[in-house]
Order: sequence, then structure tokens, then C-alpha cells
Amino acid sequence: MYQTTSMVTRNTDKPLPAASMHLLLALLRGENHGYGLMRLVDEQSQGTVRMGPGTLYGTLNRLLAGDLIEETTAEHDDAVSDRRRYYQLTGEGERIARVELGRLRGLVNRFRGVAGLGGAPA
Amino acid sequence: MSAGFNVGVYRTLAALYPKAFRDEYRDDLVAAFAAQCRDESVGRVWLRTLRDLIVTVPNQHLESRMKRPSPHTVAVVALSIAVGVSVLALASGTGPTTWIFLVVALGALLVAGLSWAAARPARADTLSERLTWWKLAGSGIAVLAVVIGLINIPIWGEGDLPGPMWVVMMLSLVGGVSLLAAGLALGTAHWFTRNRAIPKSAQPRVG
Repeated sequence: MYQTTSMVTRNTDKPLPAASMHLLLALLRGENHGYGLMRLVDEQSQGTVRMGPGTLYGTLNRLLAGDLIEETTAEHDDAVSDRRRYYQLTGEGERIARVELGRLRGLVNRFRGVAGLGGAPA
Repeated sequence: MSAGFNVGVYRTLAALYPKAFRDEYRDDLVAAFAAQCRDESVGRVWLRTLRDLIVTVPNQHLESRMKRPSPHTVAVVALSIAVGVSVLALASGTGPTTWIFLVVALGALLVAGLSWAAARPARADTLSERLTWWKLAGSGIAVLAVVIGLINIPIWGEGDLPGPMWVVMMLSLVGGVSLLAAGLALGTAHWFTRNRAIPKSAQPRVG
């Protein structure tokens, strides 16, 4: 892994950068390879977040350095022929992903009572 | 354009990433790009990819520099500022702002020079050992070439050079000639010293 300085340690539950959040949420569905994740992020954001290859692998590299995800390529027979790398959440990565999901849910819930902002009026 | 051509161009552009990142992810980057080209309109993929490159290449370089700061980082940053501000000075024409830009550029250049010198490993003990004649003479020739080139390109409009630029050009010309002269003088002095330092008895016999 190519190590970078940012996100090597993560002591707080501060909101993640958008690309990291989308990738962690995509990995909540299970392990996947780089391009598969790119498609999942596109799908789960309804086409509003479309990553380029540099953003994808730069972010995956930071998540690897922060021990939020791990590579599982060796466990896939097809990965060897495809030369694809597979990734999955670590325990800490899953916890952070659930915190992010909770944060998003909380945000939506707070607006639920506001008329005209996507929720039924109270 | 064939898919292979697009992928080849992207592979070449991926060389812009820092070496460590490239070594680790180049094949993955290219594979992801190729897969995108297969699934979407190539034009749209290129638009997104170019935007991606513009953002992520400098970002990766910054991250790799932060991780492994080079002793020359300050010098490189200062030199970049000097070049940027010099361009602004050239673009701003005449007036007090030009002078301000030039002073900032010279300051940045000075910082770049000092930090570069400070970052050098102390291999040579004396200034004369560090300053080899060919470096001085080469710098002089380079400065003269740049100044003469700048004077001759028609970017100055119909009139003469703007006032502050004229002063800078003249100073640079004098500096270039001085460097060249110093280099040649040092080279000549070294040549004489070296020949005198080896006694005839110690020199290898020929024949």
C-alpha cells in the first residue's frame, strides 16, 4: 500500500469527506472491487456522485492507510485472472460507516417535520 | 478513436501521479478508465477524467510530499512563487504594482536560493569546492540567453521595455556577464592550481 499522511489515525467521529463516506457506505453492502465500487457509488447517489479513477483509488488508498478497509484480493480466484483488487470494511470501518449512516438519518429526521422540505408536515 | 487509443492516452496521463502512487495503482486506474469507456460515452468519461486528473494529481503530489518532505521542498515552493509572481509582474505592465510584484519575486528567489543552499549535503568544505567553474559559467550563459531571448520576443508592444523591466533586464545582463566571467576565471585558476599541485616527479611517465 502506498501510505499517505492523511487519515492514518482517526480518533474522532468527525464527518468523513464525501468520497470516503460514499465508498464506506458502498462497502456496507459487502466486499467489492474498485470499478464495482465506482458503479455502486454512482447508483446509490442516483448519479450525483461520479468518481474518476484518481478519486477512487486515492480515496481507497487513504481508507486503507486509516485501517478502515482492507484488501481481500487473495481470497478471490477470479481476481487473479482479472487482476482486480477487492476491498472490504474492517471492524472500525464498519463502525465509522454506521456512524455516518446514523448522522445522515438524523439529518433527514430533523427535516422531516419541516413542511415543504421533503417530509410530511407535523 | 479506438478504445485502445483512449486507454493508451490515459495510461500516459497517469504518469503524472507521484511514482509511489503510480507503482501501486496505475494498472487499476487504467482498468477503471477502460471499464468506464466500455460502459459510457467516451466523451463524458474524458470530461470527468480530465476534471479528476486536475484535482487528484496535485493532491497526490502534495500528500506524497507531506509524507516524505524533501529538504528542497521550501526551495521548490519559493521558486514556484517567484515564477508565478514574475509572470504577474510581466502581465501587469508598468506601474507601482509591477514593482511590488518584482520585489516579491526577488524575495522569493532569494529564499529559494538560500533554502536550496541550506538543504545541500555538506560534501564540500569550501565555497570554491562547491562552486565549480562550469556551474558558474553555465549559469551565466543561461541567464544571458534568457535575457537576450526576452528582449527580442515581441511582447513589449511598440515602445521600449517597461521601466522596471528595463532595470531588471540590465541587472540580469550584468549578472549573467559577471557569472560567466567568474566561472571562466575560476576555471582558469583551477587549471593553473591543479597543474602546479602535482610535482613533475609525481606525474606518470609516458613512454
